[in-house]
Parts: sequence; structure tokens; C-alpha cells
Amino acid sequence: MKSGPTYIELLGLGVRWFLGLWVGWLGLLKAWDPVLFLKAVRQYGLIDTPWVLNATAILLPWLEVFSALLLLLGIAVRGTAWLLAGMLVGFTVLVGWHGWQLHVAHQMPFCAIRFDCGCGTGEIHLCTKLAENAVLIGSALWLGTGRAGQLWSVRYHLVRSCVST
Amino acid sequence: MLDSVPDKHISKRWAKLVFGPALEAGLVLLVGIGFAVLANSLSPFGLQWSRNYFPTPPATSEGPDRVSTAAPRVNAQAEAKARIESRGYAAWTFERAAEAFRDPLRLSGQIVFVDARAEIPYRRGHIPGALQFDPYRPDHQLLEVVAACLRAMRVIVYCTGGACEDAELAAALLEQAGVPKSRLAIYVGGFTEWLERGQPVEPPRTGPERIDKEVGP
Repeated sequence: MKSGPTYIELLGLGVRWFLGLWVGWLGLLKAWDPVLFLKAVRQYGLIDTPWVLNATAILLPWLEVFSALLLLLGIAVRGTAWLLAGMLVGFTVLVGWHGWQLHVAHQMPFCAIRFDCGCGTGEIHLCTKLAENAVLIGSALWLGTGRAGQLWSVRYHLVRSCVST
Repeated sequence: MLDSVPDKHISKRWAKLVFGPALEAGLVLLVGIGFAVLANSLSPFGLQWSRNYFPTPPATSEGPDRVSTAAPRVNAQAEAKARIESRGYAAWTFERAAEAFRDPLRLSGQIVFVDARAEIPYRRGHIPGALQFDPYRPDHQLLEVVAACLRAMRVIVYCTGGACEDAELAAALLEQAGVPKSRLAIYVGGFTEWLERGQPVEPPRTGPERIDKEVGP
């Protein structure tokens, strides 16, 4: 007789849905106003070529929405979690670096800095954003490295590893 | 020979842990890019891939000023004025903009105000008589705005003010469309300052409202 889901499985499902909903919401906010996101990407001063700037502003929000859909449905959960973790680490480094530049330029306490990082939520305190990203990265890594998140998933493994048998 | 068995086992486990999810992540990325291209083409807010949305030359004062664009507004007006002037546009203060607004020439179309904000904040409130011209979606109003600007002696472009560069982008587009640069002026304080100074807006305010909600991006 099959017993019900374990606490870990339920937690995995909760984390998967939390990550999916949160990332999806942030992606939709950016996709809803891509011009605002375009300006935010430009403020980092890393991309000068117009088509690269445009491609970044077009692809990232929808990629987040797509990843969120996969997580909510439970498709390719580990690969999606890895992808999200990679993206989140990149964003966090950029936000932290930009915050550090502001901190140096304005001689303000690091955690008092507040700016629109282009994350979709408007102006936010730097430390709040970094803490939020740390939670999201932790969730994505947990989903990506373990087997949690399998519960109620449509197709947990999109690709079965050739060495998995 | 025997030693290689656990090694092989470890490498298989490692490959299982890394290879499968990495391959999956790559596939998700590829399909996700396709999804993004399709969604952008279907979205009414979609961006164009090849358009240069920032045609203005970079401000000559790079470095810390560039960083401070996202900083709290310490000396935001002074920074904006320097940035606008470095791009070769006349930077107008509130006093000059208000004087131009009161000038009877405005009513005859010799002085034109151009609002470079998006449609929604423009509809919520703008300087009376100002024409809307969103530099990110110029096709909608370009002909009408350029025609009005070519008839005018002076064109005052504004956005929210401070770090907002949209007025300069709009001015650059108008210039490309044939409006002489000498006629273009940027109102540095923008709509935020206009509202803070209690100036008339269209449609009229009905009561005390939060400025930050009204000005929008």
C-alpha cells in the first residue's frame, strides 16, 4: 500500500511553486513594460550595442516566464532550476557590483542604497534585493541538486541522463 | 584494475548529477529563447530587435555621473542640466518653462510643449496643451508632433525630470525628423517639478494626490 507524500516531497512542491510564482511574477512585470526594463539594463553601462541591449531586454523577462511555467507544471524541473540558479547568480553579481559602485560614488552605507535594479519591483533597498536573491538561488539549487520537487510534476526529467540506468 | 571500479562509479554518479540537468538546462534555454521571440512578436508592448532606442550621444560626463543616474536624487537637477547641455540642448529651468507657458505665443502654436512620457502617465496629467511623444514608440505621434514643432519658434520637451533622459531622446528624434536643434529646449525639472510647484495640469486635479503615483515612468 502506497503511503502519502513525505514532508520533503511536500516541501519540494512548495519550494517549486514558490520559485515558479515569484520568478514568473517578476518576469511578467518586466515583460509588461519592456521599455522600463530596457532602461534598467542600460543603466548598468555594460552593453552599448543596440541589438544586444534589445535582445537582453526581450529575452530575459520571457525566459523567466517560461522557466516559471515549467516549474509550476513540473517539467524539466532540475534543468530549469539550474538555469534559474545561473541567471540569478549573474543578476545578483551585477546588482551587487552596481550597488558597490553607488556606495563608493556617493559615500552612502551599502544597505542604505536604494535603486531600481531592473528586477521588476521598482526601487528597492540593495540589501533587501540581495537577501531576496539569496533565498531564490538557495531554492533553485536545492531543487536542482536533489530530487525534491517531483511531486505532482508532469515530466520531472525532460532528459534522462545516458548514464542514469 | 580493481581501483578503477570505484573511480568509474564515482565518475558515473558525477556525470549523472551534472550531465543530465546541464543538458536539460541547455534545452530549456533553447526552447525558452524560442518562446521569448514568439512572445515578444505577439506582445503589444514588444520591442524591436534592431532599433537604436537611445540615439542620443553619450553624455560627456561619464564615470561617476553615469553611476549616479540610479542613485537617490542628490543634485539630480544639476546632474541632469550638465548631461543635457553636454548633448548640446538648451536646459531650461522651471522659471523659463513657466514663462513660456504663460506666453501668449503658446496659444498660437509658436511655443509648443512636448511630453516625452508614455501614454498612461500622459493621460493621467500633463502640462496643458502639451503634445505626447513617446520616444520609444515614436511612430504613433511622429507626423503630428513634427508638423507642430516645425511651425513653432520654440519647442520645450520634458519628461519626469531629473535622471529621466526621455526628453533628450525625444528631442534627438525630433531633430532627426528635421526640427532645428536651436528651437529645442529641455525642461530639466520635468513634470515632477511642474506638479510640485502647483502649476496647472490637464486634465485638472480633483484633490490632493501623491505626486510619485502621478508622474509615472
